[in-house]
Amino acid sequence: MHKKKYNFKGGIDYSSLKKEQSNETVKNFLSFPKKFIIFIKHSLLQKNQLRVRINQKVLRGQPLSFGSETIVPVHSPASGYIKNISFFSFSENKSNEYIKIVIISDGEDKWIKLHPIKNYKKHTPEKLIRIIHKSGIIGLGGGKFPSSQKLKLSINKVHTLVINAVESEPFVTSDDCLFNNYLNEILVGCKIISWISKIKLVLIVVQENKTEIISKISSLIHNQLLFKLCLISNKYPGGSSKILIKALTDKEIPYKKHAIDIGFLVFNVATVYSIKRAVFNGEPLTERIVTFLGDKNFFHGNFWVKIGTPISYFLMHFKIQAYSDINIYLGGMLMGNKVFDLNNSTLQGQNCIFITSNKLINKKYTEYACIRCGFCSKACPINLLPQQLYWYIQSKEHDQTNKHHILDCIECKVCEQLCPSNIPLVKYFKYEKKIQHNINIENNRRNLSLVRFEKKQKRLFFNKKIFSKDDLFLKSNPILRINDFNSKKIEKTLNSFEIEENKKNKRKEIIQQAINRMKLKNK
Amino acid sequence: MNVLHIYNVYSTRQIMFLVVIACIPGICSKCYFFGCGTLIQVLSFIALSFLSETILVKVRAKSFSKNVKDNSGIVTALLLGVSVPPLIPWWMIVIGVFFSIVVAKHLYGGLGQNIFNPAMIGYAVLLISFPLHMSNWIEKNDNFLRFKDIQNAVNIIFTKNTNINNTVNVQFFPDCVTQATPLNHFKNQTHLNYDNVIQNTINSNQQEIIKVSWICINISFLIGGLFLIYKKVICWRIPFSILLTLCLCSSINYFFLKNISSSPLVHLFSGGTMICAFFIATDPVTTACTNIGRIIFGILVGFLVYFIRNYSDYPDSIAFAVLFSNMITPLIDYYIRYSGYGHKRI
Ligand code: SF4
Ligand code: SF4
Repeated sequence: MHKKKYNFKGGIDYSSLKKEQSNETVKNFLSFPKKFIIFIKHSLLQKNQLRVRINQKVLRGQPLSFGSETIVPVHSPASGYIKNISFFSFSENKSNEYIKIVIISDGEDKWIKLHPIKNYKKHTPEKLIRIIHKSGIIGLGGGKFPSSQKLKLSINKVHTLVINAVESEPFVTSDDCLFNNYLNEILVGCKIISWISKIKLVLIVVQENKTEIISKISSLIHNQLLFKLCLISNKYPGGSSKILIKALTDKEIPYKKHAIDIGFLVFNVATVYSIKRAVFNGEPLTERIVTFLGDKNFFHGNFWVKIGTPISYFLMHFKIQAYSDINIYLGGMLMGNKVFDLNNSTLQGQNCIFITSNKLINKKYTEYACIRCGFCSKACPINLLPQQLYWYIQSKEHDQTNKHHILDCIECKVCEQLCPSNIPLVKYFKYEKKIQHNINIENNRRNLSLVRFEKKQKRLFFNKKIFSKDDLFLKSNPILRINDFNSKKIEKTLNSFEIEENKKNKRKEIIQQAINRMKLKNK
Repeated sequence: MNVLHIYNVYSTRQIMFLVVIACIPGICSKCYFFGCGTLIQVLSFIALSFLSETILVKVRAKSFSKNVKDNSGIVTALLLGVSVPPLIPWWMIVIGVFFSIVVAKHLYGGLGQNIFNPAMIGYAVLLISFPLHMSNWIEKNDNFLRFKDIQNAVNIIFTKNTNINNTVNVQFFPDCVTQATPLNHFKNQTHLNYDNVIQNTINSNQQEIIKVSWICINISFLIGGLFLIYKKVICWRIPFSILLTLCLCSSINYFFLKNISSSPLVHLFSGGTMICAFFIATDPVTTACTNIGRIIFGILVGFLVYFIRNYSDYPDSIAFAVLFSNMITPLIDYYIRYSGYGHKRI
């Protein structure tokens, strides 16, 4: 058995802040919600095609949309019928457009016909990847990258599989809970993945303070050569794949590359579990474990939640009436986004819902000037210099922020937590990132138009050359010129011009008439 | 959206407060050896700086709670008060506060925007303008009562008795002798190179007393500095590299030229070495922000302290060394920076 403690630079140890740990068992919801709302991302580049119509009956696990290379299909979480399909965009983020599908459940929860594969070794990796793709599995740790594509890229490229069971946020225990209850199934999932991409070593990374799980795993795997247990120090943020690989191997993932490129395949535990479900039981991804973090008055614990459950349902279920008094965050305490719309539903990538009362949040913090104490840069897990970035953002030097690699920031908010002056650094960084993005787009556009301009110049130059050649040619043989352009030819060309003009006029007239007709109709 | 602060080790006010606490042993020992003038000076510096900051914040139309309540002005005034000799007249205090708080801090844009260490700007201005006053360290007489001592100090600081020279002092302190620091003594030795002058002015017994007093003061500042390092308020790299460089340079010099250079111990435990290393050079605003940059900064300060002490006319050199290094800081920050994640390291 291998046990070694791995550590990484920076980060915060939250273990001294003891909060009531949620139970390690998973709770099932008593009743199904009546209404499910599913959001499918829709953009101009990747047009999702729907497979269902309004008022069509659906069963649980029935795909709602077609998948392509980069998009996986989304499945219906329950049986029932489709009430409505519409375009939708959230009020806080207008730029992303979604297709919103409302499903009314009939309460029976009937599955479609499943095709379980008991012996996965009989099938080729390509087929298994296709199954995983069809089951709609994406990175459940928050990455949302299609797992099938990750697997496809990884074949014959990786040597180690890293199972990430490190909680990305303090007090979130969904991964922990999954490991505790479904350990055997996760190990099967690991075997499936290592069969697909021919991996000889599986590292299971767990935080060091999870003693119960560690003893469980080590007793299960102690004579299997495939698995290896790694303990990582109990600090936030350990869950990011960048930091995980730095801690395990002391290597950094090169800029603009993935962990696959240096031979590591990183999967979240929840993803591994759902891959196992997809291959072994044939079930598409329709539910996941979500941690609820609430105050004493609210509910907390780990729950199996169907994807697409609206948040208002949870509040109703637990009889929380005063909506105005509470704040809800999708995601953990630190990285979560505030929810303004209670119809927002839990999607695949969310592992935590955090509910607090307004009073806790609206405490006053005076924001002093930055004293450049360097606490932030000492704590930043990926070696950035937050105070310099803050400095340059305030003086609007976008060039320098780019040079200080602002785009690497994973927005973990560690720097902000330690700042003695209470500066909301990450807010500034998000803002600056957007600006950098715009600058990039602008630069690309400029480059494109420069290329176009150069092409045009070339073209013009070429045309000129032809003309000049002709000119020379004509000047040298004046007799030829007359012979060449005889009167008939000239007439012909003139006629053709006239005909074309006539055609154009006719088309214009037709369009004009059509417009007039439309106007009349409208009146 | 308000951010949840659930893990905040110190606030800025706490950091400044800890620095003030760490200064207390130094101030006490200084009061013990040089009389209560130091205490009165520090208090008046603080009061004046608070007053001027309030006025300036009003003039600049900034929020009072954001700019004054962070206690940074108090720290600046405290450090300035500790580093000047006791019993300088009141108008010099005003000038010092003006240059450190108004010019060096607020005219540069407030806390965090200043390039130079504000306390050292004030000190340097005073040192250049009034070198005689600034090298005037008066030894306290133990026979005096405490109360009388305070009275005397107040008299000297706040009455019109501004033209300090030996005779005036003797009027107030009959048994007192104006003393130079051991560094002054050492300077006379190296530059003038004749022993008679020194023997005339100071007898060897008093020389010993002066040395002991400076060593005590430095040790008490060292204790305060170690407290700050223990509390993780300041970075250990800067004081460590300053002291190491100073020690190294002076011991090399001492090894080769024994008769005219002083031992490294004198360099370490006299003048403002410790206060410079632990309190002034570590001012976070004006130091480099990376770890390597901080070490370079410390080495620079240490070398400059040694260099100016040995080869210039100023006896003590912390102000100039720190100010010069502050000038270099942006350069260090520009060339030495982390390279993010996954980029090729230079
Ligand atoms: S922790 Fe805050 S005050 Fe300190 S350097 Fe960073 S941003 Fe500035
Ligand atoms: S939010 Fe960004 S800059 Fe701050 S600690 Fe995390 S990675 Fe570093």
